[in-house]
Amino acid sequence: MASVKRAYMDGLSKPLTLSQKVFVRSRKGKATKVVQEHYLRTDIPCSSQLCPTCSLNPPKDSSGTSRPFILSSDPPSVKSWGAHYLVPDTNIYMKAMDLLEHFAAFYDVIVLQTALDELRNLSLPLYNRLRALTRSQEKRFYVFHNEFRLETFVQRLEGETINDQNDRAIRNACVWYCVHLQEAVAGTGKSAPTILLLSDDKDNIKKAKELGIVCTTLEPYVKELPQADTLLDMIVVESDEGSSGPNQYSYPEYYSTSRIQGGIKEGLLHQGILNINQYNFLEGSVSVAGFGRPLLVLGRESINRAMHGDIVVIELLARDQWKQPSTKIIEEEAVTKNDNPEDDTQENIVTAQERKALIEEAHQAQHSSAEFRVQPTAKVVGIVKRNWRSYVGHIDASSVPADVASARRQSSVFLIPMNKCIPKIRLRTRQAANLLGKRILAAVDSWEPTSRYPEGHFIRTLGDIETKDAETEALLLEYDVQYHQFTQAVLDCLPKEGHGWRVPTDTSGPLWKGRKDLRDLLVCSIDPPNCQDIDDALHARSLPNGNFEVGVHIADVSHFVKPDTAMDTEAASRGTTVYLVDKRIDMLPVLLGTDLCSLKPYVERFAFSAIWEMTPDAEIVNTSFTKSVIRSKEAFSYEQAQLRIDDKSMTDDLTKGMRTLLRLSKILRQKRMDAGALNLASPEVKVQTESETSDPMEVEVKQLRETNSLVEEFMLLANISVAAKIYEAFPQSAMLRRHAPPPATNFEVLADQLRVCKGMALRCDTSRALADSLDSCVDPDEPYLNTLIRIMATRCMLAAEYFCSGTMTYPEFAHYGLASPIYTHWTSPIRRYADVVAHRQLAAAIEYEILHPSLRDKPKLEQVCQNINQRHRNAQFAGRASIEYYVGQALKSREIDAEGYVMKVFSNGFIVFVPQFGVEGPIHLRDLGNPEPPCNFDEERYTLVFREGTDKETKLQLFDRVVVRVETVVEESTGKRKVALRLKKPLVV
Amino acid sequence: MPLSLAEESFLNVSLSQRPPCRSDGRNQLQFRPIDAAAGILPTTNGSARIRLDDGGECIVGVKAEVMTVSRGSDVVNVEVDCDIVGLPANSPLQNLLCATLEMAIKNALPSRLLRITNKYRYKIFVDGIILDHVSHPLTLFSMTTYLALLDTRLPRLAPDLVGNDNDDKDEIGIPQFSSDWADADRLCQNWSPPLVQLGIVVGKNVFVDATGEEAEVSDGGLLTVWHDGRVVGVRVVKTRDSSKQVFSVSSISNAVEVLANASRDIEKALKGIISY
Repeated sequence: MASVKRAYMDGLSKPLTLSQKVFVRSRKGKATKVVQEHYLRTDIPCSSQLCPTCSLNPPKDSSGTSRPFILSSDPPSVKSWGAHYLVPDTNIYMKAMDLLEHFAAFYDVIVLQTALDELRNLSLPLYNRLRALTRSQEKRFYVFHNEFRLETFVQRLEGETINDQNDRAIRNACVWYCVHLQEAVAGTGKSAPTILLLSDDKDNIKKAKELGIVCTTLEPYVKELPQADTLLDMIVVESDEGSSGPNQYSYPEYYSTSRIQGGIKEGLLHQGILNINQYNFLEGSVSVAGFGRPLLVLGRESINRAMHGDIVVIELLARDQWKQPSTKIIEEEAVTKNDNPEDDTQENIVTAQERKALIEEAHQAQHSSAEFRVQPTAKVVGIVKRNWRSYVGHIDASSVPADVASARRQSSVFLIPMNKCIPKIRLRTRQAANLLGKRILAAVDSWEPTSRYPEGHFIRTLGDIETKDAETEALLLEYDVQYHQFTQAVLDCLPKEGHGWRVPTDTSGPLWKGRKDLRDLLVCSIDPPNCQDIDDALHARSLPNGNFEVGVHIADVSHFVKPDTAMDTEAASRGTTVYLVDKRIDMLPVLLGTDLCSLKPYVERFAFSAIWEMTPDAEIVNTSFTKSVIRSKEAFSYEQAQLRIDDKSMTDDLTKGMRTLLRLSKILRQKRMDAGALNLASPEVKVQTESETSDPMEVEVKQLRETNSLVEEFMLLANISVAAKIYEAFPQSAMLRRHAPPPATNFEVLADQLRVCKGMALRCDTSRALADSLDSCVDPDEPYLNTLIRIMATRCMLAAEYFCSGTMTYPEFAHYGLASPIYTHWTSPIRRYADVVAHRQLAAAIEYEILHPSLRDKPKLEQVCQNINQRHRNAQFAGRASIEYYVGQALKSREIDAEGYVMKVFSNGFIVFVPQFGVEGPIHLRDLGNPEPPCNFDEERYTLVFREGTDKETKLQLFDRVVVRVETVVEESTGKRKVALRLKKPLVV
Repeated sequence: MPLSLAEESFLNVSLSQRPPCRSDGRNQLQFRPIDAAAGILPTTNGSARIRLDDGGECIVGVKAEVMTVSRGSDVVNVEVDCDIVGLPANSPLQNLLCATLEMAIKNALPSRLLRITNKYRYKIFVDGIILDHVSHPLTLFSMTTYLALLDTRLPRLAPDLVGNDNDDKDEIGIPQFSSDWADADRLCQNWSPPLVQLGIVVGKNVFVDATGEEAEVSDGGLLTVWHDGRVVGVRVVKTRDSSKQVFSVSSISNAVEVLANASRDIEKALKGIISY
């Protein structure tokens, strides 16, 4: 029974060949002892191009290839240490990942396995970033598996802590590399590069010096590099432990992991994502399973260092602390203006002003009789997962001390993030003066209980505030849009012929197999003007039996983008094309998007067609799908199409077909409405830009023509038909889209507002009831009111989402807004990845090709869905933010009076929506006069009565029409040029 | 192979003499040499192996698992299982071994040693295998189990739980353990496991570590449970088909005294194997 392999037991005579790692894994309350054993090898290479020995016999992988050697024979050199390979300790990865990623320095780095493993235990995101660095060719990071190599493996000593063992392993590896490289260059006349150990651990440095290892701490090293000032700013700030005095106020400590896990299991604590109210930075909410409404988290102390988007664990507060949501606009900037970032010792976490604001609200909660408004409140007791990312913002000028401009010493400044839901971030920088007025990217490092603000560090500047490039990049970064160029690997997936690609002329060739020749059909496309990525085209013709044949033809993207290729992976990760006012961030390379896939007129293109036979009453007799080849006869803009249809003199077949389409689409639309589809509205404006400079010229409200809805109706019909087909073929893995019915509680407030202010009733038991009651909300004196209500109703809805059919039951598939039991996206594969998946599934469902295994893989599809849902949302936000920016630019240095509507009433101001520009903004009472005019806020009647100066009383109610002066200012808190509204007198009531 | 009548008679007579004469020349309290090792199974919490001179061999592994218990419960959760190669499952011998050891450990082990929090306790699983045995395997199994328990370590709670140990936490907290195995606490830091000792009785004499032949000619067997420096339990064991079930008080008290002395020596020897 002797264990033969346990050779290290008698390690005196023989070298070690096996190493053993023993640890306890603690999961779900269980303690498992885990033993890992691995054989020690002698063939793990040093990967230096200087070394002749290691390259003789490098280890090979299963396909018989070995990795190329990474470390350069001519590594970078600095003054004090000469040419060197860097060996960073784990603490360097923790502190300086941004530096390591920087292009200016840190090449030829030996990443030790010991440090890599330690890093993984400490921080998974950092680990992933380091892994990405080791994969990239240009930075030359080499992972040396020191624990698997015989010479560098260290056995744990009696009484040695794991940390000490790891430090020793790192030193051991340094020594080995030194000796090994000396041997490698012996006799060649070259000198071996220095092995430079980089560590901020004093003990490790001391011991390394004793061993004769060349080593240094981070700062002295960075000071020798080019761009040292920038690089130094990028070091992660260490929290000064023990600096807090006993009297100092601090945030409550988080509960221990064990208590949190237990609490969640027992249902005493709840987990969810924290959302900060954009109008009130002191109010957050967390949606928790089991509660109809989100739980409120009020005040800095309760929010307890959690940030917008973090997954937090909350505990309910006692009933007497329950409150109603805020009726005030509270901006962080206004309340915390005078904070000094250098001043760390004096700060109280909660300022008196903030307390006052809270107490005021508490009083209102008690005086309010409206029972449904009082909501349970909770406090954050732990954070499961931080949603920290890089934040774009600008330096708060008032936080930069005046004397810093001359002295270049390190100082603390505040970064004000563009996103109002993110608190100020304290940065330490040597270049404060240079950073003023710039858009800056920064990362959050930590938030200690004793620090009022999170600590972060500078990453890079994007450019001057309000320049187009900086602002565009800022919003792409803010919404996590992947805007980098397509890599060579992706471009390699494109057809070799490039723009010269043609549909093969030989109709018996392999590419024609299974394709119908529909080139003779009178197909045309109708899109917005200047549309280049034409996804869809249509045709209609009458059949001898009196019925009509209607076809929707979609670009055949899945022919060019095959599963499991680099291009497919890239498209899946981008998820969607992002449309900005002056820019488009494509999901697919431009060759496909605007040429080969795009259903351009007068050329033959591959398409995927859905063809219906319909009766004149738009009853579907028969549906079929086929891959096809089409030649579009014309590409219309909506306006051109409308003109052509309306032009009585045109009687050609194409025009007739379009008239048929229009007639049928109207019937389809009516049927949909009868079924209870909602006609929702969102404020949509368009920015006209000058074609050369793309400077904004004019803002106009988007016009909708009949032809818009013509295209829309047939796309909906196609999507619904395809959804049913792929669900039938793949009940477990079909890519579908659902829109869950909103919980009735979402409409409570709006319904009450309508009842009180307008005497209108809003019912929301079914989508039909909602649609009908929305139709009835008409005030003859206020033609815009109905649209306004629709906009507000839209905001009460849940977001539609992609999902994989196997994860839901059939009743949950329903699309609430469209009143369709099943729905998917199929009609825009050039710009949405979901459509590409649907295309592949449909192709398999009609037995055109075999389904790729990845499209049957439910967990993988779920991941895809999750990603594209997120990307889709972000793309919308980015698009809106872009419009907002351009509206601001277009209105720059102009003052316009416009009509607006009161959308929300607070006790110290109100929000006005201006349809002409699609903008909404707050009007604070404090801006109406100094001192702030006295006011009387009737919460139950949604009215605010105030007296401006000596004028008589002004009474404002929700939904009131007002005239506002629209101008733009650079908002102090976010550095964005924003539309600012001022109340004009007299009010139009 | 069964003994012939003459052999049986010879052995019986020589063992009944005062002083007795064992065929291998040992005295009453003398063990044959054993080969013992601890910590041989890396994935267990504690383990041991003992080999006897006659080829008998036993391996024991101890596993500790985290269990929830209702508040205030003081139950000591121990499960002993033992496979005997060559015997079917649930054989009387296996049942005797498991039941005796399980009872002995349960009675001797204070519940506080297994406490993690108010709600979580360790449950101890002792799993043994007797690879081969010529003489009665009870003492072999008990010694191996003793050694394995000495070797046993229980993962310690991660530091964040230790500092502030308030009641609420115990109520709901799911324990988190320190990942460093070197941090794990010895089960036997301040406690010794029980040791079961089988003696055979021939006439007025009692022998420890009896060979198969000696058991074959004995009047019967007595086992003692030794814990904390004294004998805490006695039981009569059949050593052969015609084994006596009843012994006089004097022979029992004599046997207990002899076995106690033997147990004291063995405990000392086994403890010497594991250095704290």
